[in-house]
Amino acid sequence: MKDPPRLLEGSASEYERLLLRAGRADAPAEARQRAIVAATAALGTTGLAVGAATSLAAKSASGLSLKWLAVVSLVGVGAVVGAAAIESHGRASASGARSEPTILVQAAPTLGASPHVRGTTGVSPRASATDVPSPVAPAAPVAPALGSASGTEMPAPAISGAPLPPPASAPSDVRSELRDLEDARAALAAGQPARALSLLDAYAASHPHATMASEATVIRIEALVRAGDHPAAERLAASFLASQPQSPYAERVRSLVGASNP
Amino acid sequence: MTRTECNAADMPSLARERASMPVDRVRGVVEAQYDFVWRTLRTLGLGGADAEDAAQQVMCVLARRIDDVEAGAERAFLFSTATHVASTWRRTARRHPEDASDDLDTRSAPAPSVEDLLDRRRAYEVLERVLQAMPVELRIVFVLYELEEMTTPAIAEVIGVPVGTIASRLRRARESFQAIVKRMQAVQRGRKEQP
Repeated sequence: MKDPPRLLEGSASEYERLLLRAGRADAPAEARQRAIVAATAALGTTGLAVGAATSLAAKSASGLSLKWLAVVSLVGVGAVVGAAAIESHGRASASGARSEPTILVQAAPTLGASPHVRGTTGVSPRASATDVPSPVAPAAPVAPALGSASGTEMPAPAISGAPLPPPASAPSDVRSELRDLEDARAALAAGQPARALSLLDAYAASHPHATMASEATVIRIEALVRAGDHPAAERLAASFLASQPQSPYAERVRSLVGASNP
Repeated sequence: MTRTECNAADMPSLARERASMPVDRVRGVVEAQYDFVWRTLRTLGLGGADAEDAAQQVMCVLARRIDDVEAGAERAFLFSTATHVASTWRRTARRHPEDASDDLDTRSAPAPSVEDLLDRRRAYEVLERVLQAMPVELRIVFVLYELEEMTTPAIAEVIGVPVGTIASRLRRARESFQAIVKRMQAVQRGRKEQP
């Protein structure tokens, strides 16, 4: 049985053609990039996530990919997931329509059986959307950095050919944040936690609307632990976990303060 | 030394090669199928930001199940997952102000003019209104055939119903689509004729 011609190729009116052409539009490219990062991170292995982020960064010179790569190296396990969450937040905040970040790797709906899944009776994804509160001190509320300017962004042009709007803020802002956090991380790696804390203070002062406030907080907690200031580390960790219990960094934060309490 | 460097240095080359395989497959599937998933979710009634977040969620499910998904069956898996995610999402997620397009009443909403539709956003908004006014089982077949340009056998495989059922639904879906559009245009004409 032969398929009938599609409406766009046959009997559609001009009005219907305009509608159907609009419906063939593509998704925003940035959303696709976020999904790639989140999906590769969801494979569940740090090495895999790092590889994916590295590949993405190599493919693009944009601040977006630069951020993925750097966040992985700065924070480690779960960072790519966190970065994906940050990007979601950045995109949403730009529109002003949503005030909280969205984390996309949590527990989940149970899906029904699929004939296309080998050796299973159902799909039990571990990913779902969970809203979490805003990042904790020392950073101010997170502001958008990259991502589309609006949560209501329409898909790529199908009729007018107009390009997608530019990112909400310049990649240089993100690069500046990355540079500062890299410096703090390097100081920590060099056994200079006091210097790392000083650099994090400077970071907080320089970036009152930091995009990577959560990452900075995790590094700060580690620096406090290494500096021997366990009470401060525990207070900050408790504050972080209270405000972001579903954060992808939560496990790492717990391990940091747990390790400091033998 | 950064953690990236640690990973690169510590992971045995053989393990690294093996590990890269699912990453490459996942990345390839997401790149190739993201638009399909996103459009499917929009068809199922999720607004712009929700569709993006839900599409990301669908891709995370794919990643976690990648070893169980047969090569060539990725699209069917993604469609099945997207329908479940959309269902859960609409039940549990808070609605955002920008996601209210499906609340519009197409019976009384006039159709914009052809000139208006040359604005792609306006055209997309109208299309969404029309699609949301269609019964969901017809809407899905309509979108997969007319917008995704899938064949009826492929749609039958994805949805899991006989090809004859797909052909029947497609016929009814087209009738529904064109009836809704005509109704909207009639409302527009009626309003123009009013003094």
